[in-house]
Amino acid sequence: MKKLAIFTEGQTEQLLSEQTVIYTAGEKQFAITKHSAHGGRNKPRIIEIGAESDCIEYFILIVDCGTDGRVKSDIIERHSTLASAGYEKVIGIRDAYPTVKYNELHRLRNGLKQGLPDGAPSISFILGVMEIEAWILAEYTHFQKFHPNLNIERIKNELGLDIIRENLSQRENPAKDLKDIYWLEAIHYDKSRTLISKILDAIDQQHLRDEVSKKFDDLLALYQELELFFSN
Amino acid sequence: MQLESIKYSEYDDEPRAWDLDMFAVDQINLIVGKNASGKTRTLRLINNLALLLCGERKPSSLSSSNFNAKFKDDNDTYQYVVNIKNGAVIKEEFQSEKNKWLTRSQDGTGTIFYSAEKKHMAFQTDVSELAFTSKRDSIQHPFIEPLYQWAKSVHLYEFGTSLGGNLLELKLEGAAEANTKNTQMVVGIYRRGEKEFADKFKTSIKNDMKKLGYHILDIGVATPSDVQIIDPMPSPGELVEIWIQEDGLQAKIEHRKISQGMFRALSLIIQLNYSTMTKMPSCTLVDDIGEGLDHERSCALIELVLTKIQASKTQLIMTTNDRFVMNKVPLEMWTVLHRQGSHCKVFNIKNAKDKFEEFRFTGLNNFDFFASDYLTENKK
Repeated sequence: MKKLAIFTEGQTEQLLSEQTVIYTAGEKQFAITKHSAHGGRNKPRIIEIGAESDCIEYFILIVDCGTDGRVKSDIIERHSTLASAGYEKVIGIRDAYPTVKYNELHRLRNGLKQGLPDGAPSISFILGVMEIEAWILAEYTHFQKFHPNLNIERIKNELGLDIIRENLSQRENPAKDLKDIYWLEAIHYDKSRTLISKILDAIDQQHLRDEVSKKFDDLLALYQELELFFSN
Repeated sequence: MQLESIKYSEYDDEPRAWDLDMFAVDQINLIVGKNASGKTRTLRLINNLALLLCGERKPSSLSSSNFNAKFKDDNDTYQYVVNIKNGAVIKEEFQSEKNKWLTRSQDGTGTIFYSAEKKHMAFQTDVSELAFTSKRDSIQHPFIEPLYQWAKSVHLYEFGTSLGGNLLELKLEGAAEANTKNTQMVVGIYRRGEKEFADKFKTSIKNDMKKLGYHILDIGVATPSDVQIIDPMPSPGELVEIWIQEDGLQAKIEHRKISQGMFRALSLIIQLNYSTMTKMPSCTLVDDIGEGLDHERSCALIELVLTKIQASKTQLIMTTNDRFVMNKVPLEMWTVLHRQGSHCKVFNIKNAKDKFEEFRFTGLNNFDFFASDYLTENKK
């Protein structure tokens, strides 16, 4: 059985990763286990490495680390356990905002590669630039599925945001853009699991893979990592 | 007035020598460091300096202490230097950028500026006394007053202790109000707050406790139900303690019966509320903040304290070993202590700016900055 672990900075990244994995896996026999690594002294941070079954070919663990700073830290902390459990790849997904600015991205990318443990499983990082919400924003077909009155013309007219033409990877705070857009229909983007799930249900994964990924190198890299994982 | 920096040493040239590098202080500071790196010691020495300057501690109680502290207010910067050996003051200086106000030497002689006469005049003071406190006179030496008030305002909360949870107060007719600098005297400080600010004080405490997940419907002081004074009889006063009424519980809970973690939080909240409501600029020292609290409450307490301090003129210096507290406090507010033998090195954004800024790009969390020895390894 092949095993992949994805560590995300939050719930949105975890749920979007799950959908992306499901889309990429297609008809393969796979299983996904999700964990939240929130916790503290009296509520330990537990990341279980397990929950396997013999009848599946691919196993994917998706861990919500709770905060951007914990993604790399959790991966380093769990690397030897993941290695013993036979994981072949670890992907860390986190936003750039608010820690670094757009013109500092190269420094973050370089920094993320430093201090990683040697040996398998190999580790790579995917950055939501500036936030993973930019990918959701760019998958503009979902807005009208989510609410029939949310179309790109209205968004352009009322918010001055041209989703099709603008380089959305340069938007500093795309989560706020999403919030403003949904608020046009008095929908509060509170990042609750229910709302995020509803938004992601409206996302067209094929559009995300074929079109949106052309505009975001990191999203393309995520698909390529997943496709490689499921390729044999 | 705020503390700008402090440098300290004791028992110079002796085997038991210890010294702290110049520690540049900001409005909010979190001191981190491994065990025995000097975190608690740093807070205590700041508190000791304050106790000396407000006359609540005598130089004669210290066998060796050398302080060099800088302060600032809206108008000027100030420096106070004092060296104490075997309980005697061997050097003392107080100056601003504009004037050398006070200087005295080992034999107790010195000069001090007289405002009315507009000139320095000689004096002699006892070698076991600070000239700073013995010459305090708001007419002749008004320059002493702001630093004296700063010293009065310094409060040290040792979060790892009971913070007054095992103490009752004996209310005596005509007795002085509780000294807020004695942070174990939480009952008396609560009574002062209730008397001076009434419901506003109570409500603020209840709201703050709610933010930590403790739902308190009411709070007050009363005579304990299970303690009485049998000697002398009649009692010289009334014993009192704090009680709380928790949501969902009918009976009031006396403060000795509240869990240790909850009482520490309550005690700190009572005292911080009193301090912020009096609106006096103050310096708050909290040792081992969050100790004994679970993760959520530890994080909530840090958030609460930071919010309160940022809205006030208070200066805050905290220490911790708790990873969750470290992850909650921005790195710019950190000071890392690293002890090499008897020498305590200080690193913060003011003297290691590149390293602090570079860490943002490692993608690690704040705790790793401490745990991975990032600073010292890169300094080598």
